[in-house]
Amino acid sequence: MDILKLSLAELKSALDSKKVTALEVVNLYLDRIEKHDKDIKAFLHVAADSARAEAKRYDDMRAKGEMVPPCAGIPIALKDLIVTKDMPTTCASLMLKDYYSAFDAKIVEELKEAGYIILGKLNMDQFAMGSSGETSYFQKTKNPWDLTKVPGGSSSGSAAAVAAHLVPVAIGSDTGGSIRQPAGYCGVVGLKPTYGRVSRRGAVAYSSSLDQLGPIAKTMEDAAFLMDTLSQHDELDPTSCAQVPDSFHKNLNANIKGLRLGLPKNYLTDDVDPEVKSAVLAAVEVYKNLGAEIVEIEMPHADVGISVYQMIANAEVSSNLAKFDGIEFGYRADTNDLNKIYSQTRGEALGVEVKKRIILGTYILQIDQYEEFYVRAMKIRSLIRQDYDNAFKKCDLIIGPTSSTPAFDFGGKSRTPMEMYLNDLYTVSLNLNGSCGVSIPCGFTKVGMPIGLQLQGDMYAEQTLFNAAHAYQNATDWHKREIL
Amino acid sequence: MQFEPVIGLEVHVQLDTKSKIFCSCSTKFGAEANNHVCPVCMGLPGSMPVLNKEVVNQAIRAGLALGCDIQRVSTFDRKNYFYPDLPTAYQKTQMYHPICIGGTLTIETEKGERRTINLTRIHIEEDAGKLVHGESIGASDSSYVDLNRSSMPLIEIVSNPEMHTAEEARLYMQKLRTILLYAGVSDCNMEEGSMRCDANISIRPVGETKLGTRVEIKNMNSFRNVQRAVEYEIKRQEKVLREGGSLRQETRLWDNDKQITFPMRSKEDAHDYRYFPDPDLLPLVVESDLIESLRKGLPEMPDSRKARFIDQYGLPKQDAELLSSERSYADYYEEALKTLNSPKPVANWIMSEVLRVVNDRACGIYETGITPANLALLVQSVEDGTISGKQGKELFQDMLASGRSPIDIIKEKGLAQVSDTGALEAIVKSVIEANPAEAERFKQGDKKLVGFFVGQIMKASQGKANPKLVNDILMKVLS
Repeated sequence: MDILKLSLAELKSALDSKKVTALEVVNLYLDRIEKHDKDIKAFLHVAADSARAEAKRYDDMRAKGEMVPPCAGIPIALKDLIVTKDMPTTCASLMLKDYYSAFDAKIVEELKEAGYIILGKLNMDQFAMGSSGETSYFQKTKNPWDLTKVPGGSSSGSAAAVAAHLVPVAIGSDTGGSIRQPAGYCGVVGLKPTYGRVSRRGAVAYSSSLDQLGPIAKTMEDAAFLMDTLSQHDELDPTSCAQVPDSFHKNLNANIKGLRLGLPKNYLTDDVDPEVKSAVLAAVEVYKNLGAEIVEIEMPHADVGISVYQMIANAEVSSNLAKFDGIEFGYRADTNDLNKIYSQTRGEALGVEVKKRIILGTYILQIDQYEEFYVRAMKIRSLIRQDYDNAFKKCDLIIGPTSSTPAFDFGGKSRTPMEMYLNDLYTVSLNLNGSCGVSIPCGFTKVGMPIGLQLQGDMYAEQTLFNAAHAYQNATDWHKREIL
Repeated sequence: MQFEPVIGLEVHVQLDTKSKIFCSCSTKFGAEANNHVCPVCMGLPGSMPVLNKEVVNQAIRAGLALGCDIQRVSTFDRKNYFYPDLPTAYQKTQMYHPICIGGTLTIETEKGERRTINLTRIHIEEDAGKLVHGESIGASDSSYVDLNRSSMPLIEIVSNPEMHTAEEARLYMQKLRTILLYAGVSDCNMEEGSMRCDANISIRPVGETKLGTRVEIKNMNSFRNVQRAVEYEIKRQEKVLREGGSLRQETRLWDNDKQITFPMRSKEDAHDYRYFPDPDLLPLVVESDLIESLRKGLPEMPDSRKARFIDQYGLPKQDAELLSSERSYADYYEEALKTLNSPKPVANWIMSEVLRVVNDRACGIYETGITPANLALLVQSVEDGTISGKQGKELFQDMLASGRSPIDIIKEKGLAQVSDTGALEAIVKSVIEANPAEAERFKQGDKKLVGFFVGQIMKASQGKANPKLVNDILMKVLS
């Protein structure tokens, strides 16, 4: 039995039927981290001792025939913006180096209650700001398919760790594509659930109206399996949705005959890498063969998504990150002057990209610009939502690329910020709409880099989305390709 | 040139709720520093606010009591600024769409002039923590942050700039306090800071309609200070203009020791707070059913109660004013009337005796130990002649000390007057027999001797004889 190739559901039944112990599983992954993470650099913190202790506890319980939680012994790892009491939460920033939270995130409570074993915390772009993983204060995570390429971002560590089998499944966060884009670059499945589907309590906020936590997994089936644990209502998160779904995993259905897939007219322009374009068009053909109907749709405001996103996300950043002021927690500059505590603490401990966005957001919210930038951006956000509403009258899901290119070289795009931001072109609008979307592997470039296919669904249309992605993975084996 | 002052007030009131506005921490005053805190009111990374429904109810009650238009949808915004007592570095408030719009408050000046002041709005917001400076708790050159007050629930009540004298400003504050106490919204304790006032003051030549340069005054922590600070600031502004100077838009602080205002910051230093909608807090939707049920739960407001006291009980205006000035006074009064329907005597006893105790002890009217029913029984005993007025006052002291019913004390101490005419006649006759010379002089017309005989009779009855009856019987027997 190759544990690395088991689905989460299979791993669960192997554990339940004692074909394998939790300790064996945990040790297998810890050994792989030990062996490979010095190259990949996905983890910022590995909680080996507590993971082994937890695994042993579940093994003992199973041995005694005691009841164990449903997923007891399945390893998982968290993007390092999810706060944890017994591990540091750094947001990959000097600002929170060695910061321990006074409370566990809701998602951590849910995972522990379900029996998942947290192996550690994963690298990311600093405070989730970046699309390549390069803005981490601590280290640059590498793309497991080619260590000279970026893994994407901001959930760089989550995507790379799952791709390299350092952990079977991981949690990321997606504000403008930060789950889907790195999943696409690393050849794994990245799901952004509907806003409010997963509690945000305990996820350090980047842009509160756009942030959403979600799984990065090897398959859609695994992502659906994990979503059954994460889709809980949280009374302490006012934006958490009250509607709790029946099991996504149980209801997975690969029969998608009659599913209407919308292909936006203005999506596949010449800016899209030709290899990406042909992989996406090939995926469309796969869907046709599966019985899906392809409809042409229009997304008239797709091109302004990036600008609207920049306005709204950065405005919120300037406010959300103001609490990192050196007073109550985190880094404090060595000075006694109050104004210097503020300016030097933030000057010294926040990364360049973070500061750039804070300054931009501060400018956008100033009283003279507020109407012109923020209010106008909110109006255009409504238009983008209308685009989606109109599209979902004609189709069930929207199909297209996750990113316009495959993973690029380190440093390659950092010098041109606009190009870097445009990398989010296909992903940001979904966050502005608030609905769900997923990136699944749909091919490889000639040099062997993965290509991501994005499916976008309506608000709370997870089951439809999951079924379509699952059907595609049943019909293809891109997700089974091994890193050499 | 004559100037007309224009005054608007912004009053912060801490709402009376068990827990804070966005978390379940206690709102109790006086806890040790940083004991009533949690990740939310400490602004820890990842924490999220959850709006306390009782805060919304209290804000709506305040709005209804002040005749505001309660908004079905209101929103929360962030006011961004750095200060160590503000852990999130933004205050959650309602800038763009407050929960209450409009409203009025009527005051009556000492000259008897009634004025209705219009309100602009009431919005909900959170309080900040506070800084503790110096060596009382640590190093003398350090400051410490206490977050117990962080996220305490507040409303800010903003008046239109429609007041014109310092007296009006004070009366506005006092009336506001009365109404909010009636509504049960806050304890309105200015010393403990649960009611705080900022005043916006400008002056303009009489007849001018455009507003002058506005100065904001902060730090007035009593009604008297509000009046004094506003008075001072009006005079200061007049002096500047009369001397040919010009005013600058600024914020000034009231110095209670020196009795002056002094500059805190000018308009140029004013923050740009970069208000924007708080993405963590969904729009607050208030159902009309909730508004109606809160409206029904509100007690009668002071103005209407005062009018009714005059109307229904025939009280003089001053009595009605005093007895309606606090909800508890009016409740106490009307409870006493349920036992004894003698509006004026009961009012007199409350105003002269009960409120004296309330003032001496600085306690609530229900905390003297004398219940409204017991007070009514006392008044009844005096009114029906069971005891004399003088005895009544002594009985009041007894009741104060023991908390017992007046009926029991009268019985136990044998205080009841002898009103049995047969028994009294016997006493009267025995006194006349014992003093034949005086009786003769009286019969001859020396009417001054009535006092002598009443005194003797009271003595013989050990003070229990009903004086009025004694008089009647004496006249009958001697004539």
